[in-house]
Amino acid sequence: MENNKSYFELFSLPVSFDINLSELNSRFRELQKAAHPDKYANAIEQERLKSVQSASLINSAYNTLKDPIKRAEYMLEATGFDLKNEKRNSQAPAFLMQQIELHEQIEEAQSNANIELLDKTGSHILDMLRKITDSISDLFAQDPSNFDEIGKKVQEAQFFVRLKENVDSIILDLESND
Amino acid sequence: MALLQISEPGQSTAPHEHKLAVGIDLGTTNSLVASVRSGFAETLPDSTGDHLLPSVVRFISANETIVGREAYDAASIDPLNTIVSVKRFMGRGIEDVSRLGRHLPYHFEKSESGMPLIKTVAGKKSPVEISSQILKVLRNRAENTLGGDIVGAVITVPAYFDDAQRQATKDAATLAGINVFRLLNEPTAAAIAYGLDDTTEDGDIVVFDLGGGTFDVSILRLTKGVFEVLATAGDTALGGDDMDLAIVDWLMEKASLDADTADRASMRQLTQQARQVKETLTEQTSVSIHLNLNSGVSWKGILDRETLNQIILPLVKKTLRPCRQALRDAGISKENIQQVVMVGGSTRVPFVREKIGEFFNREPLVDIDPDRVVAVGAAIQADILAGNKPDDEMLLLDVIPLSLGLETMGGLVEKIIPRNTTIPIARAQEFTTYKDGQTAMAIHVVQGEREIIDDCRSLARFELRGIPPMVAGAARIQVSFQVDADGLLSVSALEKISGVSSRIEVKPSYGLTENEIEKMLISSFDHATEDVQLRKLREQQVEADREILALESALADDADELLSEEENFKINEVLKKLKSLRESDDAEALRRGIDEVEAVCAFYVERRMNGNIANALSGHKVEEFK
Repeated sequence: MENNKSYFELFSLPVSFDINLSELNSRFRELQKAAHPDKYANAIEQERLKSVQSASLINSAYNTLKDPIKRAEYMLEATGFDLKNEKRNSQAPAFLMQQIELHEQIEEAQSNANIELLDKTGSHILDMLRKITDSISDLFAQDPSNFDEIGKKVQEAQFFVRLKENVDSIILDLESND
Repeated sequence: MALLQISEPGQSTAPHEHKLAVGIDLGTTNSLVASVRSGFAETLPDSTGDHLLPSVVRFISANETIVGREAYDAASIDPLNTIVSVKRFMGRGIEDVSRLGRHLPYHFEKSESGMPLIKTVAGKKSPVEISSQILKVLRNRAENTLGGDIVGAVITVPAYFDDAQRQATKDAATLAGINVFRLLNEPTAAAIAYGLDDTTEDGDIVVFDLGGGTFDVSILRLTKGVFEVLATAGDTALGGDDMDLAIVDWLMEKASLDADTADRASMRQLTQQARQVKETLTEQTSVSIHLNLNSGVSWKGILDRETLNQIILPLVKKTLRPCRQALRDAGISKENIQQVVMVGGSTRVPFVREKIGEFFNREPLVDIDPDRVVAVGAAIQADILAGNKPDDEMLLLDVIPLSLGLETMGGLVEKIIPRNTTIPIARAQEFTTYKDGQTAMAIHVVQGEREIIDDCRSLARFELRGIPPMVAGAARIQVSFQVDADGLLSVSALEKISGVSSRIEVKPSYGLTENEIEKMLISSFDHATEDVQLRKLREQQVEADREILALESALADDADELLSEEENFKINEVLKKLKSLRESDDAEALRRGIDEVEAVCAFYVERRMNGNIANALSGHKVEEFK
C-alpha cells in the first residue's frame, strides 16, 4: 500500500469534510479484514511486516477521519497550513471570556464535589463542540481554502476537547471517592 | 455411544491438514491449555483428569522442578522454594514487587537490569524462567494429548498488561520453546469463547475479568464478525489473592496474631485456609473455621457470607472505577450495554456478581466455567491463526491499554499514542535539541496516564548519538513508535537532516535481553554444544519449511495475476535454492537462503497487499454507482 495515499483515497472516499460515517465504518472493517496481521499469520516474514504497516496506516487513517476535529486538522495540514504555529491570541475575546467562565464553573463544581453540575457542564461543552463542528462544516462548504477561519474554529474546538477531558477525569475521581 | 462428527462445509479442513495449535491461559492462580479438536474447543486435562494447573512452581534441586498441584501442596512446608502467583512479578521491577508483598515469603535479589530474582535451591530464578516452567508443562500436556508437535500458541494476557508485562510473557513462551502466534487479551478471548461472533446480534459487550491477581474490564463492539475493543481499563494488582489477604487479616485479628511475629509457614497456612473459606462461602452462607497453625496458635469461629461481603467490599468497590473509566473512554453509557460477561475465578464470589450486575443493571453471563473460558477462546483464535479455518471471517481489533510517551524537558511526558488506540499502530513525533552543539539525545520511553515522568512506568532508555552539531532547536529528530498486534512496542529515532538513525526493540527496563534468553535456552540443553548446534539447525529448518510453504501457497494464489514471467522465474529460483539448502545441515547457509527469499519477494508482497486492499473496497465502489 502506498504510504503517500491520502487517508480519503485509502478509504476510497471523496475529499470532503462531510463524510458518510457508516460508510467509513464499514470500509474500515473491510480494509482490516484484508490487511490485519491475523490474516497473515502464516505468510512469509516480509508479508507479515507489510501487514503490520498497512493495518497501522488503516488504523491511523480511521482514527483521523472518524473524528470531525481531527479530520479538519488533517485537511488543513494536508494543504500545508500549520495549526500549531497559529497564534492563540488571535482568538476572539468573547471566546476567551467563555473559556474562563467554564473553567471557573468546573473548579467550583470540583471543590463542592458537585457531580451533577459537572455532568451538566460536560454536556454543555459537547453542545458547543457540535456547534463548532457544524460551523467548520459550513466554512468548508463555502470555501475550503479559507484556512484562517477554519483554523480558528479548529483551535476553539481543541480547547473544548481538552476541557471535556478535564471534566471527565474530575468526575471519575469524584465518583471513585464514594 | 460416540456419534460421528461431520463438519460444516468450508469450516474445517481435512484431518491430515489440521495443524495442532493451542490456546494457553497463563493465569495468576491457575493455568490451562485448550485446543480445537473435531471442531470443538476444549481444555485439555492432565493424566489424572485435572484441567486446571495451579500456577505454582517448586524448585527441589538444581535438576528437579515440580509444577502444579503437588507444588501447591508443598507451599506451606517449603515456602521459599515454592513460587505461587509468579504472574504478579512479570515485567515488574524489584521496587514494584516489594510494594506488592507484605505477605511474600521469598528472598528477592535485584538483577543487573533491576528485575527481581528469587533465590531458590536451584539458584536465582527470574519470573520469566519460572513462568516458562509452567508453560513447558502445558506444552507437554498438549503434545501428549494431541499426539504431535504444536505449531503455535495463542497466549492470553490481562488486557491491562503493559508492554513490559507482555514482553515478559512472550519471553517465557520463547524459553518454553513455544511459537507464539499472538498474545491475546483475556477479555477478548472470553468474548470469542462465548460465541459472541458473527452469528450474534451486533452490540456492545462488557467483559468483567477478575482473576487471582489481576483485574480488567473491556468494552467490545461486535459488528459483522469484527470484534472491536472500544476501551479497556483495570488494575494489574487486584484480584482474588487480595480477597484472601483481607480474610487473612480478619483471621489474624480474631486469633490475635501479629503479622510481624507470624512465621512464614503459618502465613502460608493462613492464606490457604482463607482461600478455602472464600470458596466454601460461594456455595454456603456460613462456614465454621478451625485454625490450628504450626506455630501452635489455634482458634475456632464462624464466618458468614454477610461478614465476608463486608471484608471484601473495598476490593469490589475498587473494580468500579475502571468500569466507569472504560465506559467514558468508549463514549457510551450503561444503557448501550447488551451483555455482561464474567471471567476469572474470582467472579464466582456471589457478592462480585451481585455488585457488578447492579452496576450495569444486567444479569451477568456466567454459563461457561469462568476458569476455562479464556483458554477456550484462545484455542479458537489459535485454530484460526494456524490456518485451520481459511474461510473464517472473524477479526479481532484490540487496543493498547495504557498511553505510550516520551520524557521531555523537566521530567514531563509527551504522549505519543493515547490509551485505547486500536493496534497495530505507528506514530511519529519530532523533537529537537535543547543546547547549541548537542550531539546526542537520550530517549526515554514510558507508559502510563500521568503527565509526570515518575508516575509512569519506564519501558526503555536509549541514546541517539552522532547528531551533527547545530544550534539549539535546529536538529529534527523523528521518534517513531510501532506497536504490533500483540501490543508490543518498537521504537526508532532518526535525525532528519543528517540521517543518523537508531532503532531498538523496546526491551523493557526490567526484561531479559536477547542474549540472556539465548543463554538460558542454551543452558537448558545440558551445556552440550552439539545440542546447541542441532537446535539452531532445527529452528532454521522449521523456519525454512514455514517460508517455503507460505511462498508456494502465495504463488499458487496469484503468481499468474501479479508477476511477469521473468519475475516469477526469479522468485522460483530463490525458492528452489532454499529448498536445496533445506536438505543440507548448514544452519547459517539456510538462514541466508531465507533472507534472500525475503529480499527478493519484497515487491511481490507489496503487490499482494495492494491487491487485497483494492479487492476489499471493490464491492463498495460498485455500491456507489447504484
